[in-house]
Amino acid sequence: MGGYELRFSIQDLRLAAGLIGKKWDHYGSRTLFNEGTLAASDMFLTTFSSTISVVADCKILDFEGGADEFSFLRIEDGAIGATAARRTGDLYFDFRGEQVVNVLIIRDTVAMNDQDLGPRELVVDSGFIVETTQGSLAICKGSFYMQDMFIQRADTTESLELVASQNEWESSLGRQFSIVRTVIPVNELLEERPNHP
Amino acid sequence: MGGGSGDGPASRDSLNSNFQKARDQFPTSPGGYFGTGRSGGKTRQIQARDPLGTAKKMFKMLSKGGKVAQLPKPGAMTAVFKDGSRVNFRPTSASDGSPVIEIAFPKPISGVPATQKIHFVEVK
Repeated sequence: MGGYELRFSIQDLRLAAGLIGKKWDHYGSRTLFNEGTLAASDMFLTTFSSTISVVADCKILDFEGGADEFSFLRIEDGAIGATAARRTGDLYFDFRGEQVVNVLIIRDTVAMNDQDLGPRELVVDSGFIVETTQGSLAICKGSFYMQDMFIQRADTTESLELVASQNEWESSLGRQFSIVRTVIPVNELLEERPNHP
Repeated sequence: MGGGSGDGPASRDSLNSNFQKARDQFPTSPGGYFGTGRSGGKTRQIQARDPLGTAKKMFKMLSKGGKVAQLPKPGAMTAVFKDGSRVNFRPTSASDGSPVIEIAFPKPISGVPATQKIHFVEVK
C-alpha cells in the first residue's frame, strides 16, 4: 500500500508535550475570525511560562494520482504574530490559570482504493487538543488542503465539536475512500519514537 | 444553477451565493469545479491572459459580504463568512508560483465541492 504522511515531527510533538504540567494563560493570532474560532494561517498558545506557535504550511503530494497542495501543521517555539494579536485584541483567556493535564494529537487516516492506482493511505495530524483541569481547547485544520485552523473550547474533551473534513473525500465509481480519526495522547506518540533525534 | 445548501437556498452575501454568481463568468465542471484538471482532483487550473488580474477579479466576486482580511504573506487575502466558509487569495502559490484561490465550505452543499484550489496560469 502506498503511504503518504503529513504528521507532526518529533520536535513538534515535544513542543506540544511541553505544555503538560504548565498553567494555561491564553491563545491568540494575528488573523482570528468568528469570535476567535478560526485562525487563518498561524496562532500561538501561551502558558504562564512558555509559548508555542502552530503554523500551517503546504506540501505537494500525488496521493490521488496528480499533484495536489495539501496543508499540514508544524509547531514552533515562541509566539508568531503576538504583537499584531495584542494590537487587535485577538487574545482569548478561557481556562486561564488552569493546569494543562494532557495534550492529545488528532490524527486522520484516509484510505483510498483506486482501481488504477491501487490502495493508498494518507496519514495527517490535523491538530491537537489541550486538556486543562477545567476545560479543553482544540486546534484543528479546517481542511486537508487549506492553511486555516479552527479553535474550539469546551468543558470536556468529549464535548468538543471537532472539525471533520470527511466531505472532501467523495467516493466514486472505481475509487473508494474511508476516513478514520484517532485521538492519541502526545506522550504515547513520543514513546513510540524514543530514539528519534 | 442549483447549489442550495442543506439549510435552503444560498442566502445573500454567503460564499455559496457568490460562488453561484461566479459560475456565470468562470464556468465549472458538472461537479462544481472551476477551470480544468483531472477528474476529482481538488487542484484546478484557469488559463488567462492576465492570471493575477483574473485571480483578483474572482476573489473580489467570491469575497463579497465576507470579513476580508490580509494574510501574513504579502498580498494574500482571506474572506471568512459567518458559517465558516472561506475563500483565500494568494498572489504566489507555494507550489508553482502562480496566483491561487482556495475555496472551502465546511458543510456539504449539493453540487458544490467542499474544497478546491484554483491556480491561474498564462494562456499557452
